[in-house]
Amino acid sequence: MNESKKRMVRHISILLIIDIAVFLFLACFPVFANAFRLQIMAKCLCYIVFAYSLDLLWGYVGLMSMGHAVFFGIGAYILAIGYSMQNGVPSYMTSLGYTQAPGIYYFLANKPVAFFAALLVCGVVAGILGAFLFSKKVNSVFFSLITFALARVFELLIINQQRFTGGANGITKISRRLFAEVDIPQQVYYYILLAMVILVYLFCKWLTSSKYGLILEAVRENEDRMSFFGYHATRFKIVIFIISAVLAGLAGIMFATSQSFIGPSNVGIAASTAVIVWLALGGRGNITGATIGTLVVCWAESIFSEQLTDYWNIIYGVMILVVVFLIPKGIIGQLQTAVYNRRAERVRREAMVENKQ
Amino acid sequence: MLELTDVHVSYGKSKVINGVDFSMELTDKVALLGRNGVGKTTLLKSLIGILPVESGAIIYEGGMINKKGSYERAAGGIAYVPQGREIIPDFTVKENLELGGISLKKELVKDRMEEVLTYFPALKKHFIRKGGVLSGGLQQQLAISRALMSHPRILLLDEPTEGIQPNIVAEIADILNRVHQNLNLGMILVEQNLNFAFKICDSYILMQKGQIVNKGSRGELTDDIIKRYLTV
Repeated sequence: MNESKKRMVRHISILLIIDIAVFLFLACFPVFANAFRLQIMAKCLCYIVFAYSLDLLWGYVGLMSMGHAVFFGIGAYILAIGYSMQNGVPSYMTSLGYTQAPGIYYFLANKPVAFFAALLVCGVVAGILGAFLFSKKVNSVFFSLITFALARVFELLIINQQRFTGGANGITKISRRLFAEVDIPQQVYYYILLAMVILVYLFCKWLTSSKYGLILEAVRENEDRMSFFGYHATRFKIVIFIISAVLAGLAGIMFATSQSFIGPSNVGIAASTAVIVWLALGGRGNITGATIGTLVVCWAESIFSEQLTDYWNIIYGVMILVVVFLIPKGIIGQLQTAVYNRRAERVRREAMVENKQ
Repeated sequence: MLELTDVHVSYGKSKVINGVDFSMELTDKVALLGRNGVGKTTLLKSLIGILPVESGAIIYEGGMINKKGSYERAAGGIAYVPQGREIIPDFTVKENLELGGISLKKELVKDRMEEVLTYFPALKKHFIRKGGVLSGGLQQQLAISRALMSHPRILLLDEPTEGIQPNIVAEIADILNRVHQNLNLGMILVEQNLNFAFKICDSYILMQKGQIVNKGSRGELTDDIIKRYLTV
């Protein structure tokens, strides 16, 4: 077993069991769920990838982006625009009296082009923003504030540029046809989404357990120290920001196609802060927490919104307070600490017995 | 060769290094001495690139490195062991060492680690323990071994004996001498403990108010100079 794999095993043995159990549950879910519940779970799968993307940035490098939904939105909107061009000028443009779409839209009408353009634009925007912010040594607090402002600007841009984006109504009727011209059944599409989640999960696990992951964590602890170790910390931060943005864009693509809709509410401040809550609840810096936190909040929202519609926001607020005051490391972080303490206690007792002998 | 010409360094408007000139071969062992606050740590930080040089020149192996980032200087062979050690407490000894080997190819890291650990046998026993739970002496050894991972040409050490018990201090001195003997690298040692400094270094530089006020070989440091520049 090579060193990287050994490190991976040491870090994730308990988490791996949880991950496998969760993925098995997700794989069996369509067997006992109705179409409505399956649609909700499909949305959760997209959000899990979104949460993974922020976990790489916040959990591993300590950069809390408060505008991460911008990348989710860029991915979703570029793909949605491409898909809405399949039958000529999109309906949200014709309803405003426009008979001609902007030139770039015709280019996006090719579905694979729209898909890759969506990911590319996310990466390029993150690269430019990251290069500017990190080379200026902007600290994590200002990074959060700047990304927060960016989310607001992006949301307003989407709402105000109705001709290009569908405005407050968003873009609807995005097909699940992907690259082929065949309608994919809901259940099959669910498994495509699940396969993407697992692929992204494996990628994140590989990345974070590699030497690169070790460097990212060390950068989070102390950036200056890494520079005299010989590492260009700024470059590492820019690269992880790009990776994170591309994954957020992928989550947006998955969301737009699975929910057949993308609107300003999915790309602004509310969506950006929601993913922070999922990570805070589940626990950041271990990927597993992102899965758990997302599933818990999404299903709590779904169930409480149905049963106790008027009280959901209060319950949501209480959940945040519970996390802040009682489980600041999140569910998985707390679990890890408990397991670590138990092991430490066992080692201490064994040492005491040995000393007595 | 490492050469400093009229180097000035400031923290904002407060000038800390005020025209330092000195040069050394990359095989010399030089003790950088002085009372607290005279600019010893600042000078080391400007050598590794954590603090920018306001004016003057730092010339390393024939090239001016003033504008180079600390990561470039580290990659070029300048290794820094800061005050307080700055190991990564949540990482194991092995992981801390791995991070030190940035310039090495993946397959060479393990060999280099074994080579470095021959100087630090005590550290070998704690290979998979987290750095944060080690004693101060072991943490210091870890910091030095981490710095050696990247095959440095010169080692900058900032008070490596701070907070360490006397028998470990002697052990560290022996280790540093063996490292110098076998790897033939240069050292600049900032130190308050004169006995320790001269167990290792052959020459000294004395600083006061951001300037070099005296320098010479080990034997030239007289009681009078010590009284004038080092005693409180």
